[in-house]
Amino acid sequence: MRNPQSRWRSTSLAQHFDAPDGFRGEFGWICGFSADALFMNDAIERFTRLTKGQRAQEGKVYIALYLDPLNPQIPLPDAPGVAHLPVLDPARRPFRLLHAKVALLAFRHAEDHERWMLRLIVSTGNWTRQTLEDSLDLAWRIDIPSEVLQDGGDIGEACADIRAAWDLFEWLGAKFDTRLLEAGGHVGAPASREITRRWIQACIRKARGTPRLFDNRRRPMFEEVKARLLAADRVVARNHLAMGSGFFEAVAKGEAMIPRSIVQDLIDLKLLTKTSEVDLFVNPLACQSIAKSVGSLRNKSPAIVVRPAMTPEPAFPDKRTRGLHAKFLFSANYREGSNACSSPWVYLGSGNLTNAGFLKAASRSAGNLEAGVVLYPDGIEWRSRKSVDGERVITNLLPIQWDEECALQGSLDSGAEWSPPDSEFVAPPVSHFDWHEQLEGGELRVGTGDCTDLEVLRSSGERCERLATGFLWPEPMPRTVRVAWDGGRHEAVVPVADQYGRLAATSLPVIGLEEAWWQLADFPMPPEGDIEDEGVEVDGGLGAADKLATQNMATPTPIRQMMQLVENIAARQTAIAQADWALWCARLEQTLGQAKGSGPVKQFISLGLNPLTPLYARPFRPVFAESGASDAGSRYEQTLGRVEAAWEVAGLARLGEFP
Amino acid sequence: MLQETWGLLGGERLSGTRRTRTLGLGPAVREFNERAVPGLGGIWFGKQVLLATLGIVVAERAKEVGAHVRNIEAANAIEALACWLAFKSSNWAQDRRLRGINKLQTKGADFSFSRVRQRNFYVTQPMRMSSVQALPSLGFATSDGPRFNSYRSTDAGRAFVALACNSFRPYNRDVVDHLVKWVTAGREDVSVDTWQLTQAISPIVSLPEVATKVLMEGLRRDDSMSSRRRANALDWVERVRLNNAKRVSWSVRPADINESHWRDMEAGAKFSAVRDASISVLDAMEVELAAKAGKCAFDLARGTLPATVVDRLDALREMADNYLAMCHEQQEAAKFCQECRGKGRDVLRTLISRDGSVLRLAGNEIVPGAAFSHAAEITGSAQGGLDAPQTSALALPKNISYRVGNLYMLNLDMAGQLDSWLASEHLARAS
Repeated sequence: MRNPQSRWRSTSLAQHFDAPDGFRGEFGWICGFSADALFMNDAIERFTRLTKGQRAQEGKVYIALYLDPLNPQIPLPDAPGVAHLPVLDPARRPFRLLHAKVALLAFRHAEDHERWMLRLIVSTGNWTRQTLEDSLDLAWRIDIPSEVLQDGGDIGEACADIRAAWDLFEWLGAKFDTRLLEAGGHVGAPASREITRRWIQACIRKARGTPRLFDNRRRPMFEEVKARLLAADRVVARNHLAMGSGFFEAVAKGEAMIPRSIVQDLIDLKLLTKTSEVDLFVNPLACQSIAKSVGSLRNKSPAIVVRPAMTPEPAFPDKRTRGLHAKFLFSANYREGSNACSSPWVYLGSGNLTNAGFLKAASRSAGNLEAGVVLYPDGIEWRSRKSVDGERVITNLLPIQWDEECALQGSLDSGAEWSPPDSEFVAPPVSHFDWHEQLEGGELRVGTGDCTDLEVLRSSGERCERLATGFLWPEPMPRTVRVAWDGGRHEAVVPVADQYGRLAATSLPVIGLEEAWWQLADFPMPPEGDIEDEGVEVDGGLGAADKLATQNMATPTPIRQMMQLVENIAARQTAIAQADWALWCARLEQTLGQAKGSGPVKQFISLGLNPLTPLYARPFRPVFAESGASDAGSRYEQTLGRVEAAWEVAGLARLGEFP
Repeated sequence: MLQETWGLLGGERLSGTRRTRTLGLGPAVREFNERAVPGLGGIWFGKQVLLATLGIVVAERAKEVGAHVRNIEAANAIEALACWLAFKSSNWAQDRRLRGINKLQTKGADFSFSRVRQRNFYVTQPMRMSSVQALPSLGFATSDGPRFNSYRSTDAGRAFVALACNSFRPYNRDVVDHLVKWVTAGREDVSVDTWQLTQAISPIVSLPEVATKVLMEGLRRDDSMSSRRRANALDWVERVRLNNAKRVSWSVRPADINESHWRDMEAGAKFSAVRDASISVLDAMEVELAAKAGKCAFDLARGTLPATVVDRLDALREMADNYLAMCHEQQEAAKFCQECRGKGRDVLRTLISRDGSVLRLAGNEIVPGAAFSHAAEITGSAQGGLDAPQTSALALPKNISYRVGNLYMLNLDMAGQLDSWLASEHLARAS
């Protein structure tokens, strides 16, 4: 017999990035106060289903990440696929801190390219390891599959939420340097962004009514909350309010005033009864001014009882106590003899119960940029019972309890004050360099941007020589380079794009023909991993062990291998959708380029034959690219031309002709 | 369908990046493992071999009847199914032989192949990956290349599968026939939730004795190495199992292992100690940096090296000397050990350049890397598969290749003693 409470477990913030069955991540936008590479790698692996090594080799951006400028830069090699974008002008940013924690993720169906899904996540936790391992945080999430747009169901509100999120990301996009998102051509982010924008616009066209998601660009968070509650069909005064926050007013400002003012406002607006039960949940080890205010909060009517936040066991079976970081308000009516929470509403979001977080609109000097949602959940109950699913019990949904309260004296610690780091991540004059290989080393060519004040530094700290179009790099292509500008006052790590447009990518290993086929067989995904690393990193070449393991395998003749590859490519590419054609051509060029030194290619050169010529034949091409007259066909023929040049078989006899 | 969810976020432990902090020594470590127990890969219990071989056999049979299925798809799907059935049979108890508890718990009852074959259905690193290398060397598969997708089953591989599965008849069918039907079913519903199939493929049910004998023959087979190292190592771990006594010392070579093999094992162990010591230097520097007030950076040119770092650099130098004294021919290991004998600051610079994940260099400054922890935790080195048991408690010489420990576990499994060993290990960890 299933016991719902013992089965029920919450989803971690990274698990919220998991691609649904049959889908994979196409592109996503994330904003937040902070993030780290450990979390981002976990989340993006779930989103793309690609390991760190696979993403590093692909060199494609999947996530645009907008963080507060105080967050140290996360260079692409640390979290491949994540473009941490720098702020353009920190002095003119229209918020005190970027604190809103929102993710808008787009997934595409792996087989049916018409199907997609948008996911919106609003979190109280940052995109960091700490959120996963130590914090008590909350999130709200909606999934909108493309089918529901056609079905014409009740989706206006959800689509309005997408519109609100997109509006926020568009606004942020103008404050940050997004040039990196334009890099990479058909293997990069532009194509993915373009397609996901279409899905978002399709949603926006169906938006109706007031979104649950809001931010404080226009007015403070609490004003937005109250406006939503007052606009509800029926304004109800509830007799219970629970409040929680990861941060409160600073100790230096004296006793906490904000919890009381929230309660009074709600009473004045007839959203809370004068005799209601009010609880304030805190992290007892760090609750700033609340540590000194337990008595005064309790003494006025209605009493505000300070309680330690609860780490509910069904959600955290490891029984480790976690620190409250969630910011929430929960209100409902309680009736003797009933377990139902009636007329409940919940606010959750990034805004702490502080002036900058909850009571001020975003501005450079006063309010952070915050985001949150107001929800009216159905079927919520106060306490767990055997017959109630765990996810319907309020003590499993929020970190609250009514068995323990904080003593008036000595039970709480204000904790350390937050001190900001001393440097900011600011947009460098260039967003990336394009690599141009030379006989020794290469040139880091500057695309757009003014680089008169720019220095490129080698790992030794030495400055690189400036050239007319860029900088001389005397070593093999680096994945990233360190740059300094503004007289050395700013430094940042800038990615390098290779000849295929791959950003900060690992070097492409030299491969044989069979390997080339397995790289293409799973297009658009890279091949599935074959070998688990034995506690060691995967390197490009075969180690001694691999050589020992494979030495007694039989190999077919080079001619047969080549013909098999050509046949396989033809079979695969005739089934490719037109929308993926540019990406296919890029992948084909890259993969075959990797195999240019393989034995069969050399064999064909020695025979004076060009083995790629059958790929020009119409039956070997999809209908939309059958001839060079179409754009798709012309792109394909140019791709084959470049592969022939790389293989040094251009101009050799066509297969079927003899030299 | 529109879906909405809200509430407390669950927890998760991240360890991956620190676990694979390997300082660019991968090829050397792999070579020492291969010299210790050739061709074993990451195998440590018998059902791993069965599931991977079954994947190939089922994919081949499905292709014969016109299905488009690759070895990896079939093997991953069968492994996901095997773990799901095993979890269900054990009331979702965690077990080192099973993967994907969180994912599989959310999958519901639809285990049709068309769903299970999808890439994101199961974990990104299935157990199959650690079996790949073993199949050709056990003689259960042959291949045109190193890719699992191009493997073909051999007579021995098919015989192994048949003997492992013959006593089970899901829906009164042969296990392979039933799985082929599952793989080729299309929209037709082929039930796989049966006791018979669970017994046949569950990783927590040991192989039948008749199949164990075939696996034993595979392990004793002379394969790629021109020696009998794997068979000799198997004899040795069997002797350790039978005489489960005090820890074997490096100074007393077991009779089953010849001199050059023992020397390779010992050199591997000494090199492993060097690697651990170098990680502990980096850990000490990380702790110092995390405790630093103000700017989180250390000037490598001018700063005074912290005492703990100096102590650990001394310990590292000693370990490197120990390795070099063996005059072993593994060149990359020797090069690294030479690097570790330099001046303290130079060694630290080299180690940080090799690491780059926890600490990194910005000019002359040591600064936090992506995996830096402000609550720096010092962890031991970790080797082997994701869920492989901790074999350090076994009576084997210190720092020996994890593959010897894995061979010990595999031998226990073939002797029918793995369940009780894992249960006692679980109890020991809990207490």
